[in-house]
Amino acid sequence: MALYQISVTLHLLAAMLWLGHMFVWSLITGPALKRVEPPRTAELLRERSVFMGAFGWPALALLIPTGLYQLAARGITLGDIVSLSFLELPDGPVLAAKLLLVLWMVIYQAVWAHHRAPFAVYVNMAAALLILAASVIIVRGWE
Amino acid sequence: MGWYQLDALVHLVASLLVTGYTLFWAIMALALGRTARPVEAARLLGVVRDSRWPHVIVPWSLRLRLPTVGWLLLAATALSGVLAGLLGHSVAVGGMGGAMTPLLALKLVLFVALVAGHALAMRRPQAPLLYTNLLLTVAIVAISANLMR
Repeated sequence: MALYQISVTLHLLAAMLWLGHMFVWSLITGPALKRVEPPRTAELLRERSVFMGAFGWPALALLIPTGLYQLAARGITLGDIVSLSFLELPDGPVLAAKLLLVLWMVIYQAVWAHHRAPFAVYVNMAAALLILAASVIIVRGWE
Repeated sequence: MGWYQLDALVHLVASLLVTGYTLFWAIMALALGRTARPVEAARLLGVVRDSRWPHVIVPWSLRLRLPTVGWLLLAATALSGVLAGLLGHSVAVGGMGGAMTPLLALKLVLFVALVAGHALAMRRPQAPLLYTNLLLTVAIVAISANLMR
Protein backbone atom coordinates (compact mmCIF):
# COMPACT_ATOMS: atom_id res chain seq x y z
CA MET A 1 0.00 0.00 0.00
CA ALA A 2 1.43 3.38 -0.99
CA LEU A 3 2.08 6.00 1.67
CA TYR A 4 -0.65 8.17 0.13
CA GLN A 5 -3.23 5.38 0.54
CA ILE A 6 -2.18 4.83 4.15
CA SER A 7 -2.57 8.57 4.76
CA VAL A 8 -6.05 8.64 3.19
CA THR A 9 -7.10 5.59 5.25
CA LEU A 10 -5.90 7.12 8.53
CA HIS A 11 -7.49 10.48 7.62
CA LEU A 12 -10.86 8.90 6.88
CA LEU A 13 -10.80 6.62 9.94
CA ALA A 14 -9.91 9.48 12.30
CA ALA A 15 -12.69 11.67 10.85
CA MET A 16 -15.31 8.91 10.93
CA LEU A 17 -14.57 7.82 14.51
CA TRP A 18 -14.35 11.36 15.92
CA LEU A 19 -17.28 12.92 14.08
CA GLY A 20 -19.36 9.73 14.24
CA HIS A 21 -18.94 9.61 18.01
CA MET A 22 -19.78 13.32 18.32
CA PHE A 23 -22.89 13.18 16.10
CA VAL A 24 -24.31 9.92 17.44
CA TRP A 25 -23.75 10.76 21.10
CA SER A 26 -25.01 14.35 20.81
CA LEU A 27 -28.04 13.66 18.59
CA ILE A 28 -29.11 10.05 19.21
CA THR A 29 -27.74 7.97 22.07
CA GLY A 30 -27.11 10.72 24.63
CA PRO A 31 -30.70 12.04 24.39
CA ALA A 32 -32.15 8.48 24.25
CA LEU A 33 -30.38 7.52 27.49
CA LYS A 34 -31.86 10.59 29.26
CA ARG A 35 -35.31 8.95 29.36
CA VAL A 36 -34.21 5.57 30.75
CA GLU A 37 -36.03 4.62 33.97
CA PRO A 38 -35.19 4.90 36.80
CA PRO A 39 -33.32 8.24 36.46
CA ARG A 40 -30.42 6.84 38.48
CA THR A 41 -29.81 4.18 35.81
CA ALA A 42 -30.08 6.86 33.12
CA GLU A 43 -27.43 8.90 34.89
CA LEU A 44 -25.17 5.85 35.29
CA LEU A 45 -25.47 4.89 31.61
CA ARG A 46 -24.86 8.44 30.36
CA GLU A 47 -21.84 8.75 32.62
CA ARG A 48 -20.49 5.36 31.46
CA SER A 49 -21.10 6.21 27.79
CA VAL A 50 -18.51 9.00 27.93
CA PHE A 51 -15.97 7.31 30.18
CA MET A 52 -13.38 7.36 27.39
CA GLY A 53 -13.95 11.07 26.79
CA ALA A 54 -14.22 12.50 23.30
CA PHE A 55 -11.75 11.85 20.50
CA GLY A 56 -11.12 15.44 19.39
CA TRP A 57 -7.41 15.92 20.08
CA PRO A 58 -6.24 12.42 19.07
CA ALA A 59 -8.28 12.70 15.86
CA LEU A 60 -6.93 16.17 15.07
CA ALA A 61 -3.39 14.91 15.75
CA LEU A 62 -3.96 12.47 12.86
CA LEU A 63 -6.16 14.61 10.63
CA ILE A 64 -3.91 17.67 10.35
CA PRO A 65 -0.62 15.95 9.33
CA THR A 66 -2.36 13.46 7.02
CA GLY A 67 -4.41 16.29 5.49
CA LEU A 68 -1.29 18.37 4.88
CA TYR A 69 0.47 15.35 3.38
CA GLN A 70 -2.43 14.71 1.01
CA LEU A 71 -2.44 18.37 -0.06
CA ALA A 72 1.32 18.15 -0.71
CA ALA A 73 0.69 15.06 -2.84
CA ARG A 74 -1.74 17.20 -4.86
CA GLY A 75 0.91 19.88 -5.25
CA ILE A 76 -0.23 22.25 -2.49
CA THR A 77 2.47 22.89 0.10
CA LEU A 78 2.25 24.54 3.51
CA GLY A 79 3.93 27.56 1.90
CA ASP A 80 1.10 27.78 -0.65
CA ILE A 81 -1.41 27.76 2.20
CA VAL A 82 0.42 30.44 4.21
CA SER A 83 0.90 32.66 1.16
CA LEU A 84 -2.71 32.00 0.03
CA SER A 85 -1.44 31.21 -3.47
CA PHE A 86 -3.58 28.06 -3.45
CA LEU A 87 -6.62 30.32 -3.90
CA GLU A 88 -5.76 30.62 -7.59
CA LEU A 89 -6.32 26.88 -8.11
CA PRO A 90 -9.73 25.68 -9.40
CA ASP A 91 -10.63 24.14 -6.02
CA GLY A 92 -8.86 26.90 -4.08
CA PRO A 93 -11.96 28.65 -2.65
CA VAL A 94 -13.49 25.31 -1.55
CA LEU A 95 -10.21 24.30 0.08
CA ALA A 96 -10.03 27.72 1.79
CA ALA A 97 -13.53 27.20 3.20
CA LYS A 98 -12.56 23.74 4.42
CA LEU A 99 -9.38 25.02 6.09
CA LEU A 100 -11.27 27.87 7.80
CA LEU A 101 -13.85 25.41 9.11
CA VAL A 102 -11.07 23.10 10.35
CA LEU A 103 -9.58 26.12 12.15
CA TRP A 104 -12.98 26.72 13.77
CA MET A 105 -13.10 23.08 14.93
CA VAL A 106 -9.62 23.38 16.46
CA ILE A 107 -10.73 26.54 18.29
CA TYR A 108 -13.92 24.78 19.42
CA GLN A 109 -11.86 21.86 20.66
CA ALA A 110 -9.58 24.17 22.65
CA VAL A 111 -12.26 26.48 24.10
CA TRP A 112 -15.62 24.72 24.37
CA ALA A 113 -15.20 20.97 23.90
CA HIS A 114 -14.79 20.22 27.58
CA HIS A 115 -17.47 22.59 28.83
CA ARG A 116 -21.23 22.67 28.57
CA ALA A 117 -21.86 24.74 25.43
CA PRO A 118 -24.93 23.47 23.55
CA PHE A 119 -24.95 26.26 20.94
CA ALA A 120 -21.26 25.80 20.14
CA VAL A 121 -21.79 22.02 19.79
CA TYR A 122 -24.42 22.52 17.09
CA VAL A 123 -22.29 25.11 15.28
CA ASN A 124 -19.43 22.60 15.45
CA MET A 125 -21.58 19.85 13.95
CA ALA A 126 -22.69 22.21 11.15
CA ALA A 127 -19.02 23.01 10.50
CA ALA A 128 -18.25 19.28 10.36
CA LEU A 129 -21.00 18.73 7.77
CA LEU A 130 -19.69 21.60 5.64
CA ILE A 131 -16.16 20.15 5.88
CA LEU A 132 -17.49 16.81 4.63
CA ALA A 133 -19.26 18.56 1.73
CA ALA A 134 -16.08 20.47 0.86
CA SER A 135 -14.10 17.22 0.97
CA VAL A 136 -16.54 15.53 -1.42
CA ILE A 137 -16.24 18.48 -3.84
CA ILE A 138 -12.43 18.47 -3.64
CA VAL A 139 -12.19 14.69 -4.24
CA ARG A 140 -15.15 14.14 -6.61
CA GLY A 141 -15.44 17.52 -8.32
CA TRP A 142 -18.41 19.92 -8.31
CA GLU A 143 -20.47 18.04 -10.93
CA MET B 1 -23.27 20.12 -6.56
CA GLY B 2 -24.30 17.28 -8.89
CA TRP B 3 -26.49 14.32 -7.90
CA TYR B 4 -23.49 12.00 -7.68
CA GLN B 5 -21.63 14.35 -5.34
CA LEU B 6 -24.76 14.91 -3.25
CA ASP B 7 -25.27 11.17 -2.92
CA ALA B 8 -21.58 10.69 -2.04
CA LEU B 9 -22.09 13.23 0.77
CA VAL B 10 -25.20 11.39 2.03
CA HIS B 11 -23.25 8.10 1.91
CA LEU B 12 -20.38 9.68 3.83
CA VAL B 13 -22.68 11.10 6.52
CA ALA B 14 -24.65 7.83 6.83
CA SER B 15 -21.39 5.87 7.13
CA LEU B 16 -20.16 8.32 9.73
CA LEU B 17 -23.33 7.77 11.78
CA VAL B 18 -23.01 3.97 11.47
CA THR B 19 -19.39 4.28 12.67
CA GLY B 20 -20.48 6.41 15.63
CA TYR B 21 -23.29 3.97 16.38
CA THR B 22 -21.07 0.85 16.47
CA LEU B 23 -18.44 2.82 18.41
CA PHE B 24 -21.08 3.81 20.98
CA TRP B 25 -22.07 0.17 21.52
CA ALA B 26 -18.44 -0.94 21.86
CA ILE B 27 -17.79 1.83 24.40
CA MET B 28 -20.89 0.83 26.39
CA ALA B 29 -19.83 -2.85 26.37
CA LEU B 30 -16.33 -1.92 27.53
CA ALA B 31 -17.51 0.56 30.17
CA LEU B 32 -20.15 -1.72 31.67
CA GLY B 33 -17.89 -4.78 31.47
CA ARG B 34 -15.28 -2.99 33.53
CA THR B 35 -17.55 -1.70 36.26
CA ALA B 36 -20.44 -4.13 36.60
CA ARG B 37 -20.71 -7.88 37.16
CA PRO B 38 -21.38 -9.84 33.92
CA VAL B 39 -25.07 -10.41 34.70
CA GLU B 40 -25.60 -6.77 35.62
CA ALA B 41 -23.60 -5.60 32.58
CA ALA B 42 -25.78 -7.75 30.30
CA ARG B 43 -28.94 -6.35 31.93
CA LEU B 44 -27.73 -2.76 31.51
CA LEU B 45 -26.83 -3.38 27.85
CA GLY B 46 -30.41 -4.59 27.44
CA VAL B 47 -31.65 -1.36 29.05
CA VAL B 48 -29.56 0.65 26.56
CA ARG B 49 -31.00 -1.42 23.69
CA ASP B 50 -34.54 -0.65 24.85
CA SER B 51 -33.96 3.10 25.17
CA ARG B 52 -35.88 5.21 22.70
CA TRP B 53 -35.16 8.09 20.36
CA PRO B 54 -36.01 10.92 20.07
CA HIS B 55 -36.47 11.68 23.76
CA VAL B 56 -38.79 14.69 23.26
CA ILE B 57 -41.68 15.92 21.08
CA VAL B 58 -42.63 12.53 19.57
CA PRO B 59 -45.18 10.44 21.60
CA TRP B 60 -43.57 7.54 23.48
CA SER B 61 -45.23 4.87 21.33
CA LEU B 62 -43.75 6.38 18.16
CA ARG B 63 -40.22 6.71 19.50
CA LEU B 64 -37.69 4.35 17.92
CA ARG B 65 -35.73 1.80 19.90
CA LEU B 66 -31.97 2.14 19.35
CA PRO B 67 -31.75 -1.05 17.21
CA THR B 68 -34.35 0.46 14.84
CA VAL B 69 -32.25 3.61 14.57
CA GLY B 70 -29.29 1.34 13.75
CA TRP B 71 -31.29 -0.42 11.03
CA LEU B 72 -32.29 2.93 9.50
CA LEU B 73 -28.66 4.08 9.45
CA LEU B 74 -27.53 0.82 7.82
CA ALA B 75 -30.35 1.09 5.26
CA ALA B 76 -29.41 4.70 4.44
CA THR B 77 -25.78 3.65 3.99
CA ALA B 78 -26.71 0.73 1.72
CA LEU B 79 -29.18 2.73 -0.39
CA SER B 80 -26.86 5.70 -0.86
CA GLY B 81 -24.04 3.26 -1.69
CA VAL B 82 -26.11 1.49 -4.36
CA LEU B 83 -27.21 4.86 -5.75
CA ALA B 84 -23.58 6.02 -5.85
CA GLY B 85 -22.77 2.92 -7.88
CA LEU B 86 -25.55 3.68 -10.37
CA LEU B 87 -24.81 7.42 -10.59
CA GLY B 88 -21.06 6.73 -10.73
CA HIS B 89 -21.56 4.54 -13.78
CA SER B 90 -23.70 7.15 -15.50
CA VAL B 91 -21.18 9.96 -15.04
CA ALA B 92 -18.12 7.67 -15.35
CA VAL B 93 -16.45 9.13 -12.29
CA GLY B 94 -14.99 5.82 -11.13
CA GLY B 95 -14.17 5.12 -7.48
CA MET B 96 -17.40 4.16 -5.70
CA GLY B 97 -19.18 4.00 -9.03
CA GLY B 98 -16.60 1.85 -10.77
CA ALA B 99 -16.86 -1.80 -11.78
CA MET B 100 -16.90 -4.63 -9.23
CA THR B 101 -13.35 -5.13 -7.97
CA PRO B 102 -12.09 -7.64 -5.36
CA LEU B 103 -11.82 -4.77 -2.86
CA LEU B 104 -15.41 -3.64 -3.50
CA ALA B 105 -16.59 -7.27 -3.23
CA LEU B 106 -14.79 -7.57 0.12
CA LYS B 107 -16.45 -4.36 1.30
CA LEU B 108 -19.88 -5.74 0.39
CA VAL B 109 -19.17 -9.05 2.17
CA LEU B 110 -18.08 -7.17 5.29
CA PHE B 111 -21.21 -5.00 5.10
CA VAL B 112 -23.40 -8.11 4.97
CA ALA B 113 -21.46 -9.44 7.99
CA LEU B 114 -22.11 -6.14 9.79
CA VAL B 115 -25.84 -6.40 9.05
CA ALA B 116 -25.83 -9.95 10.45
CA GLY B 117 -23.75 -8.81 13.43
CA HIS B 118 -26.19 -6.02 14.16
CA ALA B 119 -29.15 -8.43 14.00
CA LEU B 120 -27.45 -10.80 16.46
CA ALA B 121 -26.18 -8.06 18.79
CA MET B 122 -29.57 -6.39 19.04
CA ARG B 123 -31.33 -9.63 19.96
CA ARG B 124 -29.02 -9.98 22.93
CA PRO B 125 -26.27 -7.32 23.26
CA GLN B 126 -22.97 -8.99 24.18
CA ALA B 127 -19.51 -7.45 24.32
CA PRO B 128 -17.78 -9.78 21.76
CA LEU B 129 -20.48 -9.12 19.15
CA LEU B 130 -20.43 -5.37 19.77
CA TYR B 131 -16.63 -5.25 19.47
CA THR B 132 -16.81 -7.32 16.27
CA ASN B 133 -19.34 -4.91 14.79
CA LEU B 134 -17.00 -1.99 15.47
CA LEU B 135 -14.07 -3.86 13.89
CA LEU B 136 -16.20 -4.65 10.83
CA THR B 137 -17.15 -0.98 10.52
CA VAL B 138 -13.52 0.14 10.80
CA ALA B 139 -12.51 -2.44 8.16
CA ILE B 140 -15.26 -1.22 5.81
CA VAL B 141 -14.16 2.40 6.24
CA ALA B 142 -10.52 1.44 5.63
CA ILE B 143 -11.49 -0.41 2.44
CA SER B 144 -13.64 2.52 1.31
CA ALA B 145 -10.66 4.85 1.68
CA ASN B 146 -8.80 2.65 -0.78
CA LEU B 147 -11.70 2.57 -3.23
CA MET B 148 -11.58 6.35 -3.60
CA ARG B 149 -9.48 7.88 -6.32
